[in-house]
Amino acid sequence: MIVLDRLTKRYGNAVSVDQLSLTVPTGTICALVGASGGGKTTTLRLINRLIEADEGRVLIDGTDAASLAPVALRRRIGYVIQSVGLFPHWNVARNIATVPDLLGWKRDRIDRRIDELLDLVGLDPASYRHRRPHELSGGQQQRVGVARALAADPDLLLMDEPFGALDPVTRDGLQAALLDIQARTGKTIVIVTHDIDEAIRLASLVAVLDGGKLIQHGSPHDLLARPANAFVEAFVGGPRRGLRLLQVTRVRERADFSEPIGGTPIDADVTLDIALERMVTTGAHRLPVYDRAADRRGTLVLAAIASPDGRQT
Amino acid sequence: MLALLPYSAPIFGWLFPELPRPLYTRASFLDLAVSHAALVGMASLVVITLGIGIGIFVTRPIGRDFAGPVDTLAAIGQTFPPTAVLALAVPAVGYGSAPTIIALIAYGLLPVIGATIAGLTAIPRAPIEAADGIGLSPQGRLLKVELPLAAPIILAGVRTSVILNIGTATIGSTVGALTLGSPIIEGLSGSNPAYVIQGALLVGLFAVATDLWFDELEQVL
Ligand SMILES: Nc1ncnc2c1ncn2[C@@H]1O[C@H](COP(=O)(O)OP(=O)(O)OP(=O)(O)O)[C@@H](O)[C@H]1O
Ligand SMILES: [Mg+2]
Repeated sequence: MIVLDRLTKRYGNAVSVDQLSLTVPTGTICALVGASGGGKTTTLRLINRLIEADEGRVLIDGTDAASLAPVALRRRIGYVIQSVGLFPHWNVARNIATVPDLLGWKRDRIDRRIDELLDLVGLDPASYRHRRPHELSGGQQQRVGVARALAADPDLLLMDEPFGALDPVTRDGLQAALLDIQARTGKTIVIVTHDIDEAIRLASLVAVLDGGKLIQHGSPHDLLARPANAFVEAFVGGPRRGLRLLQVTRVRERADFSEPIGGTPIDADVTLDIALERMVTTGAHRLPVYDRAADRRGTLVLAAIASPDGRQT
Repeated sequence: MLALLPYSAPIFGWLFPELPRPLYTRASFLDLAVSHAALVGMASLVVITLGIGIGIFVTRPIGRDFAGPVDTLAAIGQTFPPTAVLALAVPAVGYGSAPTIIALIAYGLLPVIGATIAGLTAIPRAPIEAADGIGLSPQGRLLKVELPLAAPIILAGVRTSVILNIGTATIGSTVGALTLGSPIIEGLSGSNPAYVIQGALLVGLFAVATDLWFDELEQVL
């Protein structure tokens, strides 16, 4: 668990992070979003103590980070920096091996780990292991940066716009990979992104920063359903907000389980955008629903999709 | 060249028929060259260690306050004429190699310090931040990331310094050190242009050979 407690960082008279309090429970992904210059990178750098806070504390699993040795702390925390920052004089393998090397892993364990990670980020180990960073595209460098951060399997991961330079397909693949890793290992991840769809897909907690202040935090659904102000509203999608809301709301929440109908049912755990898509393509105004967890059947009607948010059955 | 020059008396006799002894023979050219190389080598060793060390020191957080003064001091060292350094050093350490080495050190330090500072400060911010961010210690960052990345620029500074000092070392002969400058100095004071040419030829060759060697070293890096 990471607790940020009234964290403040000033540069001269300008406040980059202003009384920021935020709790990221163990095993969750938290997305930091907000306009450029909002203090997202500064917040990450405060967590791993690349910079020291002027006020406030960072607690990592209950321990004040200020009481830990910074170098040891940072070896425990995977960090993907915004500008990637691969070591230009080392090849891909050695870049990825940096932290395992520092931790004294055995050679063959490191080699296996390098191949595993290259596979994970979608780079063929045989052809990429020995390349220098300047022989990679921007997106490939970024992927190596992600692999380097994951190398020593840290419990905590700080990622500063890790997928910014990737094409949609590759990005989609890496987001899936990250969700998979997170589900398997229960890592705690703080990810900075400008892409609200990425935040919605990956994070269970989204924190909106502006001018160093935490404007709003909550689940993607909370933010989409009840944006705290115009800034958040604009950020979570303006006119597309309703469509995104469908992506974060499950059929279960809008289905009526009192009167089931026949036909091939839709899973109660899928999101409303998928149900709506099926209605549009099949011309149906109502869909049969099957709730696997409770073993019950119900109906989703078109009108319920547009019903005021928060109505639960 | 070193091997052939001792047999070149007829050539210089033909070039300068008025000279009674056209070939420098006070010491063998080989002895001169070895002694010259040893002086430059010793001075360079000190210059490299001290220069890189100082360059590293003033780019660390603890040494940052010294960056300005060190810069000034090194600049003074270089603008100070080497002959003046010799003149000042002789009363302190006597005649011979010692004052020469001191002059060479004072003279050769600036390019190395300057190049080390330039090399270390020219490293892009991203790898430095990454090094810190993923948990390299400050020493680890210096040895594994900063110095390798700064190496080409530092090497260029070392090269300048060594080549410079191969030339500068010749004036050591004015205070009794044995160098390839000895024939030059004697030739100048004894109006023997053949000696001057012989000395200058060897110094030039030595410098060129060293420069070529640095070329190869840079290829390897
Ligand atoms: N070392 C520094 N010195 C002075 N000001 C700084 C420094 N680092 C950051 N700032 C300022 O702090 C503010 C927050 O910067 P930060 O890098 O955290 O923004 P960000 O949210 O990550 O922005 P972006 O989305 O563009 O990456 C900015 O106004 C920036 O200019
Ligand atoms: Mg940033």
